[in-house]
Amino acid sequence: MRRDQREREFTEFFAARAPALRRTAYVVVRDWHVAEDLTQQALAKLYVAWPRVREDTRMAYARQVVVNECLSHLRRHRPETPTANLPDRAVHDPVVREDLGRAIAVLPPRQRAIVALRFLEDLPVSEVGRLLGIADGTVKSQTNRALTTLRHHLPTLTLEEIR
Amino acid sequence: MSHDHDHLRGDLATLLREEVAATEPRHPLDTMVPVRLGRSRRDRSRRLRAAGAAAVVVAVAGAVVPLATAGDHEAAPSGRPGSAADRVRALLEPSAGVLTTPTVADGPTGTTFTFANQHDGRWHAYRVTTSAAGGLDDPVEHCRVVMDRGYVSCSVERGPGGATAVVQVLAVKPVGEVPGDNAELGPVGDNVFARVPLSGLGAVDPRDIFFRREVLVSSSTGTVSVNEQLNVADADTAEAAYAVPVAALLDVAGELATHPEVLGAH
Repeated sequence: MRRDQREREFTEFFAARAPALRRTAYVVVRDWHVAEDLTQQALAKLYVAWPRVREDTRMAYARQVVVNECLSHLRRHRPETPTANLPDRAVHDPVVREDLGRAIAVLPPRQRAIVALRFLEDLPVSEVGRLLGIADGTVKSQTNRALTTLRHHLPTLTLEEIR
Repeated sequence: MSHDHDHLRGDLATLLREEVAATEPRHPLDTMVPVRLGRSRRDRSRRLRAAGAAAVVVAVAGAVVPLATAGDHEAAPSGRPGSAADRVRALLEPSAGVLTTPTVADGPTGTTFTFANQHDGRWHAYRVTTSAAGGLDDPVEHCRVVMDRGYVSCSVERGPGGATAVVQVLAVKPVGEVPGDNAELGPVGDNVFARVPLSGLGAVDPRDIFFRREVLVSSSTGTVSVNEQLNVADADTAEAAYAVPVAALLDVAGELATHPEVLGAH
């Protein structure tokens, strides 16, 4: 593949997809600056692999690299779990966005990734499993654990799973 | 939102999107950042491959899959890290995280590079084994044989570029001089394991049980095996704890299978 063709295609992909990838990264790492750095690193890997990645799988590949970058980052830079910072809120008070952010930060990294991929990206279980390299059953059980944790911290949040 | 088999609804998705939208930076990402980074990485990769191609290719021979039988074991590590190991490390670290100094073992079954690191207080071992011998001529038959031997799972996949690949999971236990009965010991020192059939797990001290997830990819010069191994007592726990996704294992194996010159000198 010629370099100018690769860069033209890559630039088009980047313009269309990078914002969504940065949002996914943010949900996992909970920091926009870090999310941006990790997204750029992931997209650099996609750039290198560009000729080898089929057009119809580019977004899936990019998602996978972004999530891997995020999980690797969290392994290397373990943040304190901010459970002590959760708001002392009555059960019937409405959930606010800031509460959700804090509650998601309590989740283990892989569960955050699952929440991002399933709730933000609206991906099916099978695709999330493929991206994370885990079985569908593990995706479901980890989703349930994440929802249980979120329900615990955000009791007024409506979380319903129908199979 | 809806999917065929699994529906999620409620205000979590809405709230999540609101939270993201409310805090999202207004500035766009700069396209040239990954392009510059990517060019740099591509150029570095080309230089490494050129160096590998110029080096003497070390012939390896023997069976493809370590632990083909219960009595088989991997060669003891030589403690001889080298440039090829560094190149293997560079392929693994993006998905595995920072790795320890590798050990390199030239044994009758080929060359094995072994790395390790910790995630959530648990040691993960990663092995990359190359073999000059073929071994995936009939991957379906391969899976049939290993399942008969008591593997947890075995499936035939397509690796990068359409190469034939096998993804398999098996239980092993340390049989070398250093027992694996203490997770705090770190990676088992002498790196010698034997396969444990599923039916035999009950007879093994749970502290000595390891689960290994492994991909095999055919190459022009033989087969490449890449695996991750954990000291956990059951396969479900292992599956939830593996650090490197199967797709990444396949990518690493595929890269080494496609460019065996990367391993040309160590």
